[in-house]
Amino acid sequence: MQQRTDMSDGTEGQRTVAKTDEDWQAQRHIPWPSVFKGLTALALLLVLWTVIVYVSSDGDLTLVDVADSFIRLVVVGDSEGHTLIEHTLLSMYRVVLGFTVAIVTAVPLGIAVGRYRVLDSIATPVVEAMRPIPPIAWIPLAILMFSPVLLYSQVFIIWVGAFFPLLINTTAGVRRTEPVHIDVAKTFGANELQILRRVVIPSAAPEIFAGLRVGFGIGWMCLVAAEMVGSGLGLGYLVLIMQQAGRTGGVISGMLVIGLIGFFMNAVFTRCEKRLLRWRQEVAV
Amino acid sequence: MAKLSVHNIVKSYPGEGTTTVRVLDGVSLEIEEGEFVSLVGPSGAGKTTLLKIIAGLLPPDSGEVLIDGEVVGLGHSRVGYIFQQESLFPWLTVRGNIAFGLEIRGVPRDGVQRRTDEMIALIGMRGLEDHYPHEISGGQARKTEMARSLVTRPDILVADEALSNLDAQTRNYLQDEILRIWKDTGATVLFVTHNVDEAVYTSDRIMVLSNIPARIIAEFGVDIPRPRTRTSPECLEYRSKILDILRVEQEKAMQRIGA
Ligand SMILES: Nc1ncnc2c1ncn2[C@@H]1O[C@H](COP(=O)(O)OP(=O)(O)OP(=O)(O)O)[C@@H](O)[C@H]1O
Ligand SMILES: [Mg+2]
Repeated sequence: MQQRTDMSDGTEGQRTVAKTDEDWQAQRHIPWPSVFKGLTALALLLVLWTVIVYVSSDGDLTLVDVADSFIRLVVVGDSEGHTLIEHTLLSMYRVVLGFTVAIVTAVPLGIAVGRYRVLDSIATPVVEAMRPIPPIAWIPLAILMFSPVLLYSQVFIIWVGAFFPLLINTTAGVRRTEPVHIDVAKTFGANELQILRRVVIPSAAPEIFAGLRVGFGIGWMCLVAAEMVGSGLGLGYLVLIMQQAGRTGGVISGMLVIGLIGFFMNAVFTRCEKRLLRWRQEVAV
Repeated sequence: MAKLSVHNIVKSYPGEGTTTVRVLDGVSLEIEEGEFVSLVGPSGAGKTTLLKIIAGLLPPDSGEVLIDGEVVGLGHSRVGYIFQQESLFPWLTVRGNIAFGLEIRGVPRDGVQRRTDEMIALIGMRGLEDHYPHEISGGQARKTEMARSLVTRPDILVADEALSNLDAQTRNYLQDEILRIWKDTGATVLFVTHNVDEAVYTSDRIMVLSNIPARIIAEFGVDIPRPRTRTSPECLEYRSKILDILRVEQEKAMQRIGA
């Protein structure tokens, strides 16, 4: 479809016909290359599975075993009767909370730091000092700091994980705003708030979105780690107690759900990005 | 009273170390309502600097800018500006870009709609209004920028080499378009260009800026009725007179950069 840009009049009619023809074909056509790729990926996964089963001490761990423990976890729950769904919902609740706090703090701060040089010179050294500490290393401190309420320490950990990627991406995006775009707004008499809303934020949107995607991924990872350390319910906790009970199938079920949620959220962000940033797709498909 | 008068503008930029480089050295000019004036000058003469000062985007070191006899300062918004580099917002469609200024001014929605439609029709971009900037040609982008500047009906339109980086045909075509839009809107235009032919073809008056520290060193009223023929003897005569002056200034500029 890319080569349809020639404007010669003679072929105009032909081009129209050719296009409808091709579109018609596209509807029935089975996309063999992607089917093939999908099958290859599936085969690779199964091979990997076999290798893991072979290496692990739990020798008879088939797909059926995992499916079985998965269903048991959903219907009956763990040894204390908490179902997989309860664990999942609780983890989701925490991550939504922590991630929201991260967005609300990091994005405005990132915009301010990116736009106002004074703030930049104050904030950047602080950020650079904190950033090398892996977010997971904050877990023990977080548990101590918020000891009476476990939820707060978990929210804090997600915040730590998501905050920096969000802040750094937002700042970078804001800095990349074209000065001429700001000048355009000024010639119409735009005030600072209008400049931020109509120029700076839209032009930083691609970077902000990238920050959201990366930030969520890291926040999610940190939460799972925090749940393993800090107990309470949750997917991380579930995986841990399944391991302690020697239920490999349960461990894998928990891992699967953790992975699926990460994958799903990533897909959601990518979808939103594609829709909202249509202007950026410079290469027509 | 002149529509725009610029009095004795001086502007320096910080140079190497503690020095400053004086770019504008007391520039004065006047433009009457509805006039089409071109400003030509060697590269780096301070043309963009002057336009930014006129538009209230940059403060002068001294001197003042008056519109309708009123002194205007930094942040005023009475000048429509077509910038030297591409400046459409890539995240807005053609329509969104044109509507931008009206929205910033808080014009009610139906007013925005109506005036944007008028402008789209005026520049002949019907059918392309929902395209994003990366989906239109360079010439169409220039016209959209022009429409975006004119839709708020500014007192004065300044254009900074609006037609450079375009091929000759598109440029000739857009010169005619600009003249047509200028006539239709009755705008007062200050048009910066490095293309003398373009200046002679379009303008009522042409001012020549010297190398830095820049002043206006010559001024020509172009007394040729429109439509003009680019290759007519009158046009060529103006052209060679202006080019002679510019050649000297350009050499000075090259020496400055070379040294
Ligand atoms: N922000 C700045 N800081 C320091 N020097 C500057 C700045 N902007 C412009 N200058 C210098 O001032 C001089 C005039 O610049 P200006 O952009 O106004 O020239 P111009 O006439 O528009 O040139 P051109 O025809 O190449 O667009 C140049 O020598 C340039 O290097
Ligand atoms: Mg310039």
